[in-house]
Order: sequence, then C-alpha cells, then structure tokens
Amino acid sequence: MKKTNERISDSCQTFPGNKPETRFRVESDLSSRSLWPLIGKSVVIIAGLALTTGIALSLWGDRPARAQNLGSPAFANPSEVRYRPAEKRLRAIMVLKSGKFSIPNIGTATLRQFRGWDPKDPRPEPDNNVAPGPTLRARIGDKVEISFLNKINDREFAYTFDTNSPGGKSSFGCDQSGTTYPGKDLFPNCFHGSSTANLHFHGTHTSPDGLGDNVLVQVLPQENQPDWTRTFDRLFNAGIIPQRWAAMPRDYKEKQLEMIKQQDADAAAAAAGNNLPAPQSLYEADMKAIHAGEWPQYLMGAFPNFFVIPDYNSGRYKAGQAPGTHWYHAHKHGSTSLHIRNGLAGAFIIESNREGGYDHVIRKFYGWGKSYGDHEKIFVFQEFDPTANLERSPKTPGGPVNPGKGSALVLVNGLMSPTITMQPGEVQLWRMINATEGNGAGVIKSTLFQTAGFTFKQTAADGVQFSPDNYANQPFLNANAPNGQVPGGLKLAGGNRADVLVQAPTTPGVYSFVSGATLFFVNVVDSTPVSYPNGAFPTTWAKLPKFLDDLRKPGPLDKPNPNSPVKFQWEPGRAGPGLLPKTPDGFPPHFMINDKQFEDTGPRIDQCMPLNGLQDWVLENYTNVIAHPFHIHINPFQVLEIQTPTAENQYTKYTPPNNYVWQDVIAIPPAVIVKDANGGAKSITPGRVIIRQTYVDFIGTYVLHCHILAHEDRGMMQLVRVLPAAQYPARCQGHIPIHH
Amino acid sequence: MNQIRITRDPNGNVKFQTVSIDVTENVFFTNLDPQQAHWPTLATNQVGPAPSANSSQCPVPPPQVTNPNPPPATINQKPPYTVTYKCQIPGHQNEQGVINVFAVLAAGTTTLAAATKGTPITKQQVVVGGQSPYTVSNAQFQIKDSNNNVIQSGAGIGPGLQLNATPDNTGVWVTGTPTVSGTYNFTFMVTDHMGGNLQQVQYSMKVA
Repeated sequence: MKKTNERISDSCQTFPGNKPETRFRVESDLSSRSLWPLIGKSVVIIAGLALTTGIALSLWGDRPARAQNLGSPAFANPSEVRYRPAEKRLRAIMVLKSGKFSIPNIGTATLRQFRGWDPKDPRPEPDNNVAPGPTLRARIGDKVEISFLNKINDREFAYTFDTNSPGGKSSFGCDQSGTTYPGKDLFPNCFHGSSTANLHFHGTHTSPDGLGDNVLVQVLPQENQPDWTRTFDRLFNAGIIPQRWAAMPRDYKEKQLEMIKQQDADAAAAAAGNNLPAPQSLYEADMKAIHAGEWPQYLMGAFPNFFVIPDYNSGRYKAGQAPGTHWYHAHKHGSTSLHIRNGLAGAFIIESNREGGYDHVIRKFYGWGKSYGDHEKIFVFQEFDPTANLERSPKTPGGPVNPGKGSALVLVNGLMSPTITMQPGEVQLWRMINATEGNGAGVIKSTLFQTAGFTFKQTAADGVQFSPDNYANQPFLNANAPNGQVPGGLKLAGGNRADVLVQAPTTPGVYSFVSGATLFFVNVVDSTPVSYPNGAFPTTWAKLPKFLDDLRKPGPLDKPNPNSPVKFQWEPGRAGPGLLPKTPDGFPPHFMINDKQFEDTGPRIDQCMPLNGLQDWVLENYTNVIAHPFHIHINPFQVLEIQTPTAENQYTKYTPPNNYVWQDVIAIPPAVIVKDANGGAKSITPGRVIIRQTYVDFIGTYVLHCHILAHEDRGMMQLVRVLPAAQYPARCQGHIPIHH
Repeated sequence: MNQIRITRDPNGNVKFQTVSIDVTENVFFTNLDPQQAHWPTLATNQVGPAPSANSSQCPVPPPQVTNPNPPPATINQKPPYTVTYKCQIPGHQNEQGVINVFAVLAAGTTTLAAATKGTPITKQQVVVGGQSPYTVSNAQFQIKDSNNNVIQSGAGIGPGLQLNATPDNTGVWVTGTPTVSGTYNFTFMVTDHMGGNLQQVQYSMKVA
C-alpha cells in the first residue's frame, strides 16, 4: 500500500508549503559589533573602478559600505527537490495552489503559488508566505519526472476563461476589468485564462513537444481531481517517454477527454452567468489535434512532464544540456505576466555528472565535497502582485493605471532584503535568476556587482558555463576585457541568469547589494579570515564540452532564415511608450514582431528551421526606451554582435571576434526615434543584436518572445517550428493548432 | 483584489459580504446565491458585466461605487470612507452591500524630531493608513554614539520609547521619554486588520 505522502492527488484543502527545515538558513548577526557604521547611504560606488586581473571589481576602502539591516530576515535558499542519485531521476510533485498568501511589506493577497516535493518525502507543511517554487536539482543524464497538478480554485479569482476562438477577431476571451481593460486588445493577445497553466523549463535543451518543455499545452484548473498516482507512477517507472498521445496511458487519455468535454459544458454555464456566449469548444480542439496526430492542447488538472536531460557524452545527441542555473515558470499565453507576478517560478539547477564538469571543478577546487551545502546561494528575484498591470483600476477614473502594490518591490526567495552571513574572505557560489516580469525595477542592474570590497568572478551566463578564455577575461565584469566589455556590464534582464563566485572582504560590516533599492545585505562577521591555499578562485577552469565551442560561420549550404531580421515593434505610428495622446486609441502600446501580433492572422508558423540548421539571425528593436529581452526556447544561441544606437543612424558596437557567450535571453537595445512635428516617428534607428544558433536533436513546435512577459501576453511572440531537413520547408505550415 | 461573496440569509434577503480594502485595490463579486443562478445587473454602480454563478468578471474600482444613488462621477473623499451599492432583484432593491475604503498602510515620519534625554517627547506618527487593529512585532533598536559606535541594542524601539497602535484607523505613534543619549535607530513590523504589513522601515531619532 502506498504511503499517503506519495499520492499525487488528494482531497485535502491545505497548502503544501515550503518546509522551513529544508531551507538553508544563514543567521544574521545583529550584534552591535557587526553592525557598525549603519545609517546613511546604502552603498558607496567609487568612481574609476580599478579592475584587477580581469576578475575583480575591487572597490576597496578602509571601511565597508554603510548599511542598515535592522529587521532584515536571514537569507534562505528556496526549498529543494533533489535528484535521486541511484535512480538517475528527479521525481517531483508540483502543485499549483491558490489562496491567501502574505507578501512582505505589502500584505495578504489572493495568489497562485507553486509548492512541490519528492513523493518519497513527507509533504511539506502548509504555509502562507509567498515563495518561489521549490528548487529542482538534477544532473546531466537524469530523467525528469514531474507530476504537475493544477489545483487552483478559480472561484477565488475574478472570472477568466479559455476559449479556442480565432485570433485577432474580437476581445471575446479577454479578461474584463471595468474601466481599464481590455481596451483595444484582441484575443488571444490579451490577458486571459489566468487559472490555466503549464510548466516551461527555461534553459533546457529537450523536446518542445509532448511531455517535454511543452508550453503549448494548457492545463486547466481542477481543485479536486482524480488520483493520478498510479497512472503517473506506472508511466514514470516504465522509463519510456511517450512520443505520441496515442502512447499515453489509456486511463489518462480517456478520463482527460471525458473531463474536457464536461469542462465545455461547465464553461458555457459560467459564461452565461457573465452575460457572455459560450467559449469555443476545447474538446473539439483537442479532438482535431488528436486526429491530426498531434498532442491535444487542453487538459484538465494534471499533466506529467517527463523528459531526459541530454548527456552529450552519451553520444546520442549533437548537443547536450549545459549544466548550470536554469529555471522553470508557468508559460500560458495571456497569463505569463500575471503568473510571474504571482510568483510561479523556481530555480532548476542542472549539475555536471562527471569529473572535469562545471560543478565538479568548482566543488573540487574549494573542497566542498559532493554537494554545495551552505556554500551555494540561490537567488530567485521576484515581484509579487495579485493583479496584472492594466487590469488594475486607474488611480483616478480615466487616469493612468494603478502601478500595483508589489510592482516595485523585488524580493529574494520571497524575502524582503534578507541578510547573508559570510566569513571574512569567504567565497560562495551565487546563482542568480531574474524571475521578475522584466521591466522597471525588475531589471537587475549592474550596480549589484559593484558592491565595495567584494570580488566577483562570473562562471556562467544563462546557465551555460564560460569558456576558459571568458572565465579569465570576464566580458561582463571587466572593462578591460580583451574582446571588449559587454554593453551595460553584468545586468540581468527578465529571464537572464548569472553564476558568480563571490569573495567577501576581510573587513567586517554590513554591505548592501543594490539594484535601485537594496535587494539584500551581506553581513561579514568579525572573525579570522578564510584562507584558500590555492587562491580564492580556480585558476584552471572547466573545459568546455565540444558542443559549447563557438559555432562555425554558416556556409553556402546552410539555409539562411528568410524571416530575419526579427523586428520587435509597436503598432505603426507610435513613437514612444505610455498613454500617448497622439496614438490612435489612447491605449498603451501594442506589441508586435515583424508587423503582426501572435496568431492574430490565424495559426501560422512564424519561424521555421530545418533540423541541424545553422543560422545567423538579426534581432532588431524598433521601440525606444524599452530593451526587449529576446528569448527562444529549446536551443541557446551565441551573441555575435550588439549594436546600441546613440543617435540617428549612429551606433556603438560590441563585436567580439570569438569566445561568444551563450545565452537564451538577450536584451535588444532600444531604438533612437526622431519625432516629426506631429509627435510621430520621423526616423527609427533600431537597436540590433546578431545571434548564431543551431537547431539540433529535437524537432517540434515552440515559441520565441519578449521576456517582459506582459509584452508576450499582449502579442510579442512568434511560433517556431523545427522540422526534419527532408520536410523543410514544405511542411512548415503543416497542421498548426491554435495556441492560446 | 478582494472578493465580495453574495448569498441569501434564511429570510431570503440578499447578503453582500462586507470587505475592507485600501484605495489601490479592486473588488469583484462571486455569486453564491442558490436562488439566482444569473445575477441581475447591479444598481447604478455597475462597471462591467454582471456577476455570475461562478465569479464576476467585473472588478469594481471602489471610487465609482457609492451612496447616495445616483453616485457622483468620482469620490473626492479622503480615506477612510465607506461606499455602498445595491442590487436590482425585484423585491430586494433595498438590500445593500458595503465596502470600507482605507488609506494604504505606509510609513509616517522616519526622522523623528530631536529629543532630550529625560524629557518626554511629543508623540509622533510613524505609521499612517491601514485599518485597526494594528499589530506591532519584531521591534529592534540600536543606539549609536557620536562616533557611530553602537552603544546599545536589543528588542523594542529603545529605552524609554514605546509604540502605540491606535484603535481608530489612525496608525501607530511613538511616545515616551528617552533615557539614553545618542541616535536611536529602530524598526518594527506592523500588520493591520486588512492583512497589510509594513516592515524594515528605518526610523531614527537623535537624543541629546
């Protein structure tokens, strides 16, 4: 008989929460000794930074930065679900729940939250504080087996629903919020369906279809659902990942279709109660997809994510998964913004699986053993807000939208300005994930890595380890890097990650780490400095796996992308953000790529590539003020060039000759727009980034989009398809389900 | 976002759950009325489509919901204030709901007026807005001398000083008589009846 804690469905109404004991607590020392100079400006940034040995922002002084951390909670890593070493698998139950949660410095709000655990462990105790989802930790080559259960009670939220309606026709399907929204937004590029969700494994190289990193599946809320324990256990234990819907367990298939049919009837009744016509049938959409040999898009309550983390050394893949700091978040079009503001994100740490690998090199150098323990700090930066921008009521009737209560407060692992305690001279590995919506305060600024006295050594960007040369040269942190410093230094746009080895100063004190506001403190205690006999940082860096070498330049046999440049735009005629009086409708910008919004002209593959294709893409930003973070799923890319406009038709260029950094999010610099006499755009000098990428190992359909997620929800997204080379381009526009 | 649940009492009267919100928040309705599957249009204050058997798609900006009927276009009252609304079910037009609107819980004075050791201070407001009762917790203080050295620290806001939470929605005040010379630095967490909280605000007061 199974233990109750292994069941993946239950009728219990409590909230599985983070176990306090599973957090790695670092006690803050609030003694008077360690809190000298306190009041005053939180950080002193010394001009004329002297960079030494290409690694350090050595802002050294006789005294630490003046900081005040009275009331600061102790830093804590998120709870964690760790791989099972002997079984070579990560198995987790990931529940999406709803209820009242407390946001530090904001208050109690009705939110959706992830809670998760390994079913072999006791289920976490209920809690009511906001937090990211649990950190998932796996190794290269492991199987990932996640029972995703959407148990949201949608009656706790304002009415929101899903429909299979065509795109670009009307606002039917969009959330309604009184006087503000949806304005001129048309379905599906509007906020909608926010109780429906899925899981995106951001940074993973895996199948975009089926049970992999499938963001086109939509799991509808079902608070009380069938017990899927036996079904999913059998599926996972069999070890064979179904590649087609037909290969899924029979009871799952039959029950799902039965329930989605009932959902159509329930949704029609709810819509009638709101004086709306019935949504377009989700059951019919599913059946259409199944008959076309595709996966159904709409499912009720439960979905088993099941995929392998590719091991390049197995010889079965042209590229493997890069070990590093990745993450997961809900990715339902129309609700990615609200979901990220509800906190539906968590870290996904993928470790190396052999000597000489990324994690092995770091841990071996420092003698940290087989796990990082307290030497590793995971930062999930988040903003928590119960309501999406634009869906709030205006500050005054007819006025600008309310900025939101939590919009400007960036928390770390659900904590407000926590304090890390470090020994003098101690080195830790900091893994940072920007899981904010990606605009305003949500851009993590380079000032964070300019805290006086600390030495920073970046080891990875977006979860991909640096090449030995980049590790030595530090292209983000070193103004004198041989290939030039990346514009803006080390800052994190929405979705970006950075791994940084950080050495504390030897001077005790409380130090502020600032990105606009103080995001966290470090308390360097007064004790004997930590010494490292072989130096503070590894001098011999992990060798790059071959698949992470610089991609070759595409040759004449490589088919170029006919849809490059990829242009990030507003609607025609707009010359600036905000509620411009000159705009046709006085509504906030509409967000587009290559002159259209996502699926607003019907289902269409916007970018189609052959398997094993190698292409250079030009990304262009035709909007000013905003740097749109370009993100593409499944395959990372190398950044070849960044062109930042400085004036009309003038640029500064970053053009490293080699050792290109791998990323999966790159902020495209904003354009310079010269306005005409009427306030329109007379000329646009777009920001520009050139990337190189190859599409290997996996065929399927996925997306690229702006990682300012409200832009994604409101249209700045494209559908991407990788086909077997023999089918390219003939099958590019083959069966395409509507993806809402 | 706050939810107003709509039900009926045993006498058949329509009941609206009373909610308290701050001026930045919206409300929406959820109809749990067993006798009315389709809720009729609300009187005068309707902003979006009607509430449904499930939940309403009409978050209502509270400044547009008021009494008397018809409401003014906007409310220019300074919170706290109360707004009411009615429904249009025949025979139930006089049954109304209430929304209590408060100012946002926020910091008041953070640099308090200089004081003298042994002399009672003039009371000063350190928290404004919100709804009472307030709960104060996790108070911590440090006192530093003129050389910036910490000479005393601990729980509370410092020797001789107290926090006073008001019972009438007027925030939290500092009173008392400081007994140590130096700069008092303190912080605390306050929660209010609506579930709002305020924390890590750094307050200071020089005591000669």
